[in-house]
Amino acid sequence: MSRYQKNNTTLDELMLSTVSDTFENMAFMEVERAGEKDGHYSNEDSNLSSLLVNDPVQGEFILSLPKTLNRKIVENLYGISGEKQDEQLMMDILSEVLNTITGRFMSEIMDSEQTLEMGLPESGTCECPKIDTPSLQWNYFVEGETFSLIAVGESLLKFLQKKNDPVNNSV
Amino acid sequence: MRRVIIADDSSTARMFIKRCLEIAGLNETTFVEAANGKEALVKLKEEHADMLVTDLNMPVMDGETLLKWVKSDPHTHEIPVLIITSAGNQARESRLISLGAFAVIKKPVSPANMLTILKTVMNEKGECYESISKK
Repeated sequence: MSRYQKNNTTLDELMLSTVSDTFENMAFMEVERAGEKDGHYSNEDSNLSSLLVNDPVQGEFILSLPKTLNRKIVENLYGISGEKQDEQLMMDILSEVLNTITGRFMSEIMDSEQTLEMGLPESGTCECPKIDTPSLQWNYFVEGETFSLIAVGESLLKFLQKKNDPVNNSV
Repeated sequence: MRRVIIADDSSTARMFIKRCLEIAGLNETTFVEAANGKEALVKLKEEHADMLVTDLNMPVMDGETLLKWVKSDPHTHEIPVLIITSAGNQARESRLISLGAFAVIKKPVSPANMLTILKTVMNEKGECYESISKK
């Protein structure tokens, strides 16, 4: 976790409201902010989704979610219990959640004349960046479980840093 | 029976949009799903549609290209096209409206914003919203 993240109050608030809106609308779940140490990072019990941001800056957003939480979201949306859920449905929901969060968050911080170009989300087999890769991470609690959103890529991180600077917040 | 085409590469998003439209009052409707713009065009040519709801960011053919195809074809240009996107901002919204989109709605959609849009669509088509919804 970078030092920048600790001072990142404005973007933190925006990300929290974006994540809360998305989870409340799509999965009927209430989100709370988690601490730095509560972050959920990639392991065998997690599902991952990644999404490239291609313009106006270049970078990637990654969503790392415990499989158990992924299953709860499927159950809330489709009413299908854990054992009957198929992997593709879990991945599709994961992708849609990340797509919605990333699009809304980036659109909020971009200048009005800029147009956001994103790739298509990829879920399941992607890997989290190595722990020493410069990144920005947001951690949240949902129904007793934690999940994380991670931003990587030099251009994207610079953009976020500049947007968080109240003196010069345009790119 | 009304026919509404929903184009989105995510089956979750298609299901969610359909559910929101139903809750907003769109009954007696056949919902036809398409996973990209090209599929939606094929389904539009097969049978008339009363409304097209499309995502922007899709593989094969994106929502903006689909909108251009629909609006350039005299057989389909009058169909109201609702664009649903997470990546919408003022510049893109203005461009899409100038291309003929009826409205641009931000994800995640909700029954409440669908209701508002549906009422406007019905009004534009000279129909009464109450006639499509169960009392």
